[in-house]
Amino acid sequence: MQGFRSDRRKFIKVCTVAGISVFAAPAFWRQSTAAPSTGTPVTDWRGSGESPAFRMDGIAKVTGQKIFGRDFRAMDMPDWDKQQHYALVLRCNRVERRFDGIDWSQIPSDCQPYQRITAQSLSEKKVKLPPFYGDAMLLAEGASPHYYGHAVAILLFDDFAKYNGAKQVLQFNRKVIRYGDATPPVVRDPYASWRIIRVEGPDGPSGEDLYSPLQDGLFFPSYKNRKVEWPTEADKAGDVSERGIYYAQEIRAQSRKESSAGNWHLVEGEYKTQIIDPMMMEPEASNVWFDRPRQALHLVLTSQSPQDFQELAAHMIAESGFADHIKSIVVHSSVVGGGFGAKDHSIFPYYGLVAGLFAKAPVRLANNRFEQFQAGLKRHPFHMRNILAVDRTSGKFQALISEMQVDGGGRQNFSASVSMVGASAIQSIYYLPRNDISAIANQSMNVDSGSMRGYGTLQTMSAMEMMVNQAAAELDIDPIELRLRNAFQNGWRNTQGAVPRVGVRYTELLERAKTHPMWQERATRKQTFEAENPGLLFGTGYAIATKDYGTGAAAPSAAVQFDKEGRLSMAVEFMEMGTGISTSQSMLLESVLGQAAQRCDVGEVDAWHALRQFQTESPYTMSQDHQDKMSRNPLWTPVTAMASAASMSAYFQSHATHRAAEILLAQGLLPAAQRLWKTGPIDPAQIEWRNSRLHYGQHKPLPLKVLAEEVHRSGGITGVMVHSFNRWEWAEADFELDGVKYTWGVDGLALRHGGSSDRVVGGEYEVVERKAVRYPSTALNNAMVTYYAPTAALVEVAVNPGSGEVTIHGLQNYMDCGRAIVPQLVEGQIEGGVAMGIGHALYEVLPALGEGAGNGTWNLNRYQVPLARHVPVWNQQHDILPPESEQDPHKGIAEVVMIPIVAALVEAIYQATGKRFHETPVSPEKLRRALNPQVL
Amino acid sequence: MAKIPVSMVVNGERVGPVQVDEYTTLLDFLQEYLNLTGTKLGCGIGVCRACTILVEGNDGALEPVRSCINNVGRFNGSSVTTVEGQAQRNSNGEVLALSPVQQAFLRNFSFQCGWCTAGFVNAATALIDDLRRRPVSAGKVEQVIEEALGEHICRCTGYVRYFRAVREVIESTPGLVKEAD
Amino acid sequence: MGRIILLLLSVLSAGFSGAQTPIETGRYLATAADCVACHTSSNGRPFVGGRPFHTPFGILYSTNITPDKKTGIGHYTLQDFAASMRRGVGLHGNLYPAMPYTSYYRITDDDIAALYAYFMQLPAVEYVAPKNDLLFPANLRFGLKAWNLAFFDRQPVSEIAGKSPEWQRGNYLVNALGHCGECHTPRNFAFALKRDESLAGNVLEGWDAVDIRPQALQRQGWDRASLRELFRSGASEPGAAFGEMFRVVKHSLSHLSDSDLDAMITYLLDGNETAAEASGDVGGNPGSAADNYPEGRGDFVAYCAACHGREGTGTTIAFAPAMDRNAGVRGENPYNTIAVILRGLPAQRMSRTNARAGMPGFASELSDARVAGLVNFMRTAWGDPGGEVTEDQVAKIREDLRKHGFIGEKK
Repeated sequence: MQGFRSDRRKFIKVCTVAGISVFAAPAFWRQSTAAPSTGTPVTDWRGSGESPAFRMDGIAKVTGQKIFGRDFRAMDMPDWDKQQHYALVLRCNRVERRFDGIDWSQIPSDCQPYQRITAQSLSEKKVKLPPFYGDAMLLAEGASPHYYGHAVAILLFDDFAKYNGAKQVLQFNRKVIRYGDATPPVVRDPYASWRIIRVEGPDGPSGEDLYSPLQDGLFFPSYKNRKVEWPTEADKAGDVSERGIYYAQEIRAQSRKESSAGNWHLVEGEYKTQIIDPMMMEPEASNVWFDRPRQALHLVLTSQSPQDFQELAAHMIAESGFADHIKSIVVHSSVVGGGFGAKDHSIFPYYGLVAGLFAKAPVRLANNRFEQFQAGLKRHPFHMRNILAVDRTSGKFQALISEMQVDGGGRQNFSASVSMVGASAIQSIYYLPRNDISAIANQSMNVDSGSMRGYGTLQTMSAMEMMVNQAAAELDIDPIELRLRNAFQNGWRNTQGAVPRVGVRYTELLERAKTHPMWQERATRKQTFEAENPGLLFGTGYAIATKDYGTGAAAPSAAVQFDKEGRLSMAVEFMEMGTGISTSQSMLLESVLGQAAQRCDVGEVDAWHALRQFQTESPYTMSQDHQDKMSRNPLWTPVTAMASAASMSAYFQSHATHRAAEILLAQGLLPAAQRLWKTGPIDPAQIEWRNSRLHYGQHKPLPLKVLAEEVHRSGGITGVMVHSFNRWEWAEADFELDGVKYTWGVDGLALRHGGSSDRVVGGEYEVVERKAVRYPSTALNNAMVTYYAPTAALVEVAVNPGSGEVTIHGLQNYMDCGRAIVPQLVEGQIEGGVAMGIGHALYEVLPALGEGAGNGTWNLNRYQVPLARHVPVWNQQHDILPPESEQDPHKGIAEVVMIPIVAALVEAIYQATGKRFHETPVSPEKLRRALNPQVL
Repeated sequence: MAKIPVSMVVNGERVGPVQVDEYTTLLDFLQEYLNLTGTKLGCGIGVCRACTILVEGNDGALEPVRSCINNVGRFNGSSVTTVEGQAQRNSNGEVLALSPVQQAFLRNFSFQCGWCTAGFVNAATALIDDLRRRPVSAGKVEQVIEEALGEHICRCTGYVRYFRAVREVIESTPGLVKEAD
Repeated sequence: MGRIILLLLSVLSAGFSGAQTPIETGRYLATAADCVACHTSSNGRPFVGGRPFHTPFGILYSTNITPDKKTGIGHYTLQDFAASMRRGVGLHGNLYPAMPYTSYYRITDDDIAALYAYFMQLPAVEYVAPKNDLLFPANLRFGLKAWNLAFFDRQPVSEIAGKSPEWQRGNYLVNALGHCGECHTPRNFAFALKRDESLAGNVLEGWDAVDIRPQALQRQGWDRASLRELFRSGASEPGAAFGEMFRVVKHSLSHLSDSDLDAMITYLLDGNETAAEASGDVGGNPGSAADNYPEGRGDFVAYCAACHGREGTGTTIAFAPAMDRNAGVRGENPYNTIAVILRGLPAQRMSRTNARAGMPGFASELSDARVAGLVNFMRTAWGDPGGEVTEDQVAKIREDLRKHGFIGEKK
C-alpha cells in the first residue's frame, strides 16, 4: 500500500480511477466506544426487550463525542499534520452586474490569507468541477455571475484567529467584491423535460394500455429560445411522439367535451410551492489534507453520498494539474448531522477539496448558517397548472392534465430527476385512466435545488390532494368516500403504465380514518369548539399520500459475519441522515441469526472491493443489448454502489442485509448444527431462534456461540457479503457452492472463513463468481417509479381570523410502513416528518432571486422552521398499520409522512374559513388578508 | 487583533490562561482552542439554541447561555459546563454513567441526527436544576418545559420525544413537583 | 412642472391614483390613522376593541368600533362620529384621551365622511370590551370635560406658508391621521401633549419614543431612503422599529402609498436631507472611546460584538444592526440605548420573510456602572452626541423599568 504508513493505519483500497487509488478510511465513530467494555449498563444499547433500549449511536450523541464530519480537526486525525488551516469562500450577492474582481485591501493586515484561490488559479491548475455540477466553480473576473451566491474566491489562512478576523470583516462587506457594468442575465436551456401520457386500453386498469411510457417509451421536446417546444405532429399510428401527442390531444379534447356536456366535473387551478431550505442542523463542512510527501489527499466530509464523491473527485484530480502529485485519495466517512437530501451530491465538498489542494496543511472549510443558506441545496419550487376531471355520477376520476414548471436554480444537480419523480408522483394513491403530465426543470439564477426530502413528490402530491378535496366539496361527496372510489388497487397500472411491485393498502388506510371520531364528528366538534372559543374558526382536513421511493437503480451491499464467540458484526454501504439505520439493520439479524449485530458500520465504502464488481454505462440509459452482453461477465453489475438518498434504507438495504444473513445461516450455521445434532439436512422453515438459541424439533437447542465455535473450528463459512441490484425488481443470480446450485436475490457474493467480529475487512472475503444472472429488463426504466409507502393525516386546526394564525388542535397519522423494524425510530421519523410538513404548509419560505437565500443575509431569525409550539407536541396520535404478514417488506418512510400534512392542513383551513389556498405556505398574512378584505 | 488572556473552568477543569483574539465567541473558543466539539453551531445567531451551554451563577444556579452570540470575555473566570461534562467519566474519558436527562433522551429515542442534542441536554438540565429550587405544581410541568425548551430547534424528530423525556425526568425525580398551589 | 402637478395630485387624491369609492378611501384613511392597532382585540379581530392600555391612571380598554348597534358604533350618525373623532365626545360620554382626538380633530370633513362610510359598512360584531380599571379621580368620565377644557388646546392645522404641497400633505399625515405626536410629543402632569415641544420625544412603556424633529432625525442619521425603508419594512440601516412603533409600521405605515410616505418624510426632515456625516454634525471616535472607557469597550467586545460586529459594523439589519451608524446611539437621549441593554428586545415578525431576531437583556448581569461605561463607549465611538451617561441615570432608568415590570428584580 504505497504512500501510507500502513503499519499504523489500515486504509482500504476501493478502486482505481484514472490511475489514482481511492481508499476509504474507517468511520471514526465506533460503536466500540459504547460497547460493554466498561461493564456499565448504560452502554448496552440492545437491552433485553423486544425493541432496543436505545439507539446504537445514542451514547455518542448524547455525550458530545466527536462523530460528525464537522467535529474533526487535524489534531483528531491519526497521522495528520497537526496544524489546522482554515478556508473562507467569497460569494456574489448579486447577479445583474459583471464581477470585476476583489478588493483585497478590505482584508485587515493582521488577518491576511496566505493563499487566494480564484478562477485563474483553477484554470492554471486545470481544476474543473465534475460535469454533474456544471462549470465556473469560481467565477472568472469579467464574467457575469450565473446565480445568486456564485463563488468567486477561496481564501486560506494559517490560523483560526486570522480566519475568524477576516471572516468577520468580509462576510457582510459590500466592498470586497467589485461589480462593474450591468450584464444580461445568464440563461440556459431547461435542464430536462418529461412527458407522461397514458390512456387506458379496452381491458381496463390492469389490461394493456392504448399508450403509456412503459409500453411506448418516452419522447422529448426541442428547445427554442430557452423554451420547450413539444412535437406537434399527432398520428395514432405514428412513432412514439406522434402517438403520444395524438393521445394527449385526445385527453384534452375529451375533457372539454365531456365537461361541456355536463358529464365530467373539472377541478382546475394553479398550484405553487415555495423555495425551502432543508435546514439540516449541521451546516456543511470539510477538513482536507494534501499530504504532499506521500502524494495522498485525505478528506473528512459531511456528505450523504461519499461514494459518489470519491469517484468524481478522483476524475477531477486525474484531469487536473495535480494528477502527477496525487496517487491516492482517502475519504473518511462520518456521521451526518441531518441531511434531508441536502448533503447528497452537494457541490460543497468540491470547494473543500480545492482548498485542500492549494493549502499547506490540513484545511477546514465550514459554512456558518448564513453561508449554508446562501450556497446549500434547496427544495425545488413547483408551479403547476392542473386539471382533474371527475365523472359527476360515479365520482371516478377520468383524466389528469398537469403542466409543471420546476425551478432548478443555477446548477442542474438533480433537477432532471426531481422533476421526473414529481411528475410521476402526482397520481398519489389514485387510479387515473387518462393522464397527460409534463414537467420542465428550468434553469434560473436562484440557489440550486437538489434532492431534498420530498424529491418533487411533496410538491405535486399536495396539489393532487388539494384538488381531490376540492372535487369532493364541489361534487358534495365525502372526501374519504371520493378517495375510496378512486383508490388504486393491486395489479392496476399507474400513470406510467407500470404495475407497482409492492402491495398497496390504500383502502384500509382510508377506512381507518373514516371511522375516527375526529372525522365522524367533525361538524359537531367544529360547533363545540367555536362556541367555546368565540372568534376562532375550526376546521378538519384529511389527506393521504403515497411515497414512491427508490431510484430505479438501487444497489445495496451488506456483509454479515461472526467470530468464534458467536458475536455478530456487519457493515452496510448505505449512509442515512439519522443513522437510525445502524440500529435497525443490526436488529434485522435477530430474526435470521438469533441476535442483533453488536457492531454495524454504516456508510462502509471500502469492504466491497472483495466482490470485484465493475460497472459500465449508466443503468438508466443502457440498452437491453448492452445489459445482456455484459451480464455474461460474472463480475459485472449495472451499479456498484448507490447514493444514500430517498428513504432507501428500510426497503433496499434491508433486502441485502437479509440475503446476507440468510445465506450465512444456510451455508454457515446450519451445516454446523447438522453436525452437532447429528441429523440430516435441516429444513430452514422448521427452525426457530429463542434467546439466541437455535431450536429445531426435539433437538437440544444450540446457543449461537456453540454453533459459531463449531463453524470456526471446522473451517466453515463465517461471513457473507452480498451486492444486489434493483430496477423495480430484484436481480437474481445462480451460484454453485460445493457442487450444489443456489438461486439468490443477489448479483454479487463473497464468503469468509475464520476471522473476528471486528470491522468487516474486504481482504478476508473471497468472491464466488455467479453462474448466471437475470437482471430486470431495461424497459423498466420507462416505468419510472413503482414502489410505494402510503401515509395519511387527519388534522384539526383553529384559525384566528384577525391575525391569520393557524394553531394545530389535533393530529392523527396513519401509516403503512410494512414491518416496522424499530417502532420508536419509526415514530420519531413520523413526528419529525409532521414537523417538517407543518413547516412547508404554514411557515417556511424563501423569496426568489435577489431577496432570497443567495444574497447571503438569510438565517433562522427570518426563516421560520417550526418550533415546539407550532406542532402538536403533547397530543399527536399515530396509527401504524400492523403488517399483513411476516413477509411484508420494510418500507422506507422518512419522506412520506410530511406529505399528507400539507394538504390536510390546507383543507382544514378551508373547512375553518371557507378560503381555498393553492400556494404554500399559507401564511398568516395571506389568511389575514383573505379573511379581512376590509383592512389593508 | 488584540489578544486577551482567557481563563475559565470548563467541566470542572481549569483552563488557561490562553491568549485569544478578543472577538472569539465562546463556541469557537471551546471548539478551536479546547477541541471540545460537543457544543454545536446551528445558526450562529442565537436563535436555534444548539450551542447552549451552562454557566454557573454566583448562587450556584445553572444558567443556559448561547455560546455562539457571546465572546469569550464574558466568561473570563466563569464556570462553564458543556455536554461533554454531563456524564460521569473515568480517567480515560469513557462514559461511566449518564445524567438522568441523557438517559431519558436515550430511552425515549428523542433525537435522530443528534446535532441539537447538546443544547437540549443542557437546557433540560438547567430546568431540572431550577425546579429543584423552585418546584412547580403538576399542572404546570408541561408549561415549564415549553418555556425552557420552546425555542430550541430540532429538525428530525419534531420535539415530541424530547418533551416527553423531560416530563418523565421531572415527574420521576423527587422534589421537582409540588402539591398544587 | 410635471413634478408639481404630481405633487398636487398627491395632495388632492390622498396619495393614490385612480378613482376610489368613499369606502376604499375610508379604508386607506383608517390605515393611515392606524385605527386597527388600538381597536384590535387581543385575539386579533380588527375593530372590535378590547386591547388594554396601561396608563399612569390605570387600565383602559379600546372600544368596539364596528357598526354593531348594541355594542359598537351602529347608532352613530356622521355628526356623532365626527364628534367622537374630533372632540372625544362619544354617545356615552367623553372618551378618554387615549383616543387620539387631540390629533384627529385636524382631520378634514371629507376624510371624516369617508372614514364614517367605511366604518359603517364593516361587518358588525357584537362584542363588549372589558371595563376600564382606572384610579380615582380618572375613573370619573365627567372629569374629562374639564380635562378637555384645561388641556385640549384645539389649534387648527395651520397651513405653513412657503412649504410645498408635499410638505403640507406630510404635515396632515403626521399630525392629523398618523397622530405621531400622541407618542412622540412629551406630556404634562395631566397627560396632555405639550404643544410647544411637538414631536420632541417622550418616554412611554419603558421606551423613548424618540425626538423626531428634523434636526434630531438628521443627527440620528436618518435620511429619506432609510426612513422610507423603515416605514416600509420596519427596519433600516440606522435602526429598527420596536415596541409600539413596530405595530405602527405593521398595521399602518407599511400599507401607505409611496407618495404618502414620501410626503411624511418631506415633512419630518423639513429640508434637513443631507446625511449627518456630510454636514459634519456627527463625530465619534472609536480610539478615544476606547481610551476613555476601557471597561465599556471590553464589555462591548464581550457582550455585544459577537452579533453587532467587530467595530460595531453589525451583522445584517434583520439580525444585529450596525452600532457604528445607529440612530439610538447617535441620538441625544441615551434612554433607549440603556433600556435596550437592560431589557433586551423581543423577536419581531412582520411576515414570513421579514422578521428580526430578538436580543437578550443584560439587566441581571451588568451593573449600572458597567452599563454606563458601555453606553458611553458606544456613544463616544460612534455618535458623540455629547453628555456623559452617569451611573445614576442608568439606575433611574433601571428602577423605572423594574417598577413597571419590564425587567425582573436585580439579582
